[in-house]
Amino acid sequence: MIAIAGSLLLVLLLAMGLPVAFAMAVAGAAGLWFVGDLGIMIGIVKSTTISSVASYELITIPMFILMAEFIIISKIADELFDATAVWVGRTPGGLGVATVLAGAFFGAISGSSTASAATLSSTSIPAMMRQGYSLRFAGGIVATTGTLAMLIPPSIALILYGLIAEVSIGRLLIAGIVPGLLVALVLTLVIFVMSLLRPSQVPPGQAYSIKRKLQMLKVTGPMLALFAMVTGVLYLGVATPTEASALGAFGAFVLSTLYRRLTVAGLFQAISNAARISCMIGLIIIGAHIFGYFFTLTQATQTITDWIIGLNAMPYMVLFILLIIYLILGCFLDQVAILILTVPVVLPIIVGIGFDPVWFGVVVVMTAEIGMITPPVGMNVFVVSRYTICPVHEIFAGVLPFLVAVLSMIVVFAVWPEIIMWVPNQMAN
Amino acid sequence: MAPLPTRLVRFIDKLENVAILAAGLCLLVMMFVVTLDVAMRYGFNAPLGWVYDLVGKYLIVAAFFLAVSETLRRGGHVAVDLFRNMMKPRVRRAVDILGYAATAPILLVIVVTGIETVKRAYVRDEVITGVVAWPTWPYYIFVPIGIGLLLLRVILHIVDLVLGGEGYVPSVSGDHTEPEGPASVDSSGDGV
Repeated sequence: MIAIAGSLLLVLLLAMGLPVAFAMAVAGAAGLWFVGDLGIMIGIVKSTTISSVASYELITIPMFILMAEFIIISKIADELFDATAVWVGRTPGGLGVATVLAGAFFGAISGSSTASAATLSSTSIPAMMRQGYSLRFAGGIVATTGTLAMLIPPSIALILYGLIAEVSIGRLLIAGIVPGLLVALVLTLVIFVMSLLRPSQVPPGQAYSIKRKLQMLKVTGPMLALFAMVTGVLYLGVATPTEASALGAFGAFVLSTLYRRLTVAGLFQAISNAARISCMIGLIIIGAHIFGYFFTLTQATQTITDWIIGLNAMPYMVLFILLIIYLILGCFLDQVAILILTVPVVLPIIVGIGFDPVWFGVVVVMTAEIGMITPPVGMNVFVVSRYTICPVHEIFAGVLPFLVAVLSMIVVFAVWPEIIMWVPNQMAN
Repeated sequence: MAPLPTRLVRFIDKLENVAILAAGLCLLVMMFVVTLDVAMRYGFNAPLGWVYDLVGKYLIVAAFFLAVSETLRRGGHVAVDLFRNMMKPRVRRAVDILGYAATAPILLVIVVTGIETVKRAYVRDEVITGVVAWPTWPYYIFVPIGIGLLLLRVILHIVDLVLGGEGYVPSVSGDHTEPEGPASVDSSGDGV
């Protein structure tokens, strides 16, 4: 009963628009005071504040964000689209396909959905428009492609899931690769189909010489190398994810210096941005721990888990309902908040009915990510709409075919978990 | 417009600017130190034992707590904006005052207990259980400093709202960016 009251308070505070971290801390502290007493509340607030943050594993997040910031400074990402466009050449819907591939690459180094959508908006949409794509379709491609960043390593969302669920971050990051590539593949298929159905809206690409293609390889080469280094190090278990993230950031730092694009002002901006995003995530973790203590004290987690397992429902039925809940949550809440709030409660259920936590991490991150491209608060769509000065509802309409494709991929991954689990199962432990 | 003394506001702004830069520099040092550690381990078979504690305690704690206040000023802490956008300005003001006023006591608890922890660690000469026995207070101290700054910002915001000003925290989180370049969008509160 108290757990429900506390949750309602949390929902109210969130709806008021209070920062998620504050809302969780307030609801959690109020609950702790109510369940225990003032002393317990103060004790828990005091101890969680520093213990939530003082963690060697946690630096994976700022380091990968720093890596993305340096890549953005080095402007390699801007050239990435041109490079893939040349390589894809005259395939039907060539530029659209190039956008998806560039997005997959960019996602690989940035781990940020909105950063990916923003970069692609400024480079690929104007190019697609010049070739006669409809703005709606071009915007739809870019907004959806941004979401690939959450699957292809390094994905901040998967790292966060790993930290909360206490699942190997290395395995999670590696597990994201195959589904990420498959989703990219399906997105390009949608573009092919659209180009056959509506050739007027999706014109064919342009052919380029081999020489030009090799030239362009020079652009993408260093970035591919960086990506290969980070992923390789993780896959082989040569270094911990934390070390891999620092190496990645260092590599990106070196690249931006080599390209002579790193200024002192740019450096300060990059490190401050990384500090801001990391502390935003860290503050939510603190808030979630305070709320989590309260929730555990009321025994709510245990009760819910026992109840659902006791239902003896078909595991897939439970999974289906959970994923629907995630889809709805994704429409209102930020992914970071969704993961931190729900995973501690949901994971015991999932493991209890016999699913793999690594597999669930990938599926849940994908599902929560859908909210980035659906109304009412799809951030990627807003970013694209702001860049293109195109009405938001137009872009949402453009996203629709891709949305259907991504949703069906979630179903595929849920039905055949081996697709996700095969690669991480090959990893050296 | 602002009924609060601008000198005070500017002073807090300045403190935050220094803090966020220090936080960023901590991240930069982290990057170099961890890279160096890996290089030493594989290149010279001589890992640096102290990196784990320096990074996992001192640098991460400093980087994190020094950044929180400036991030709030920029609207970088994610919030659900959907319903606030539907509220009338007067309702929104009331809701903001209420929400932040509920947050302030918790921040106060963190600051006060944080100072106590630092004092105790200092008096008792507490050291970390690591390879090198560094004192603990130099990383405990970033909690009261960072959260203290955050508390100042929150109080400033509440007082200004009560006095009829626009407050000192952006009304809509994560939506303060202008379409000027990808780097700026990345700094929006969304983060992931």
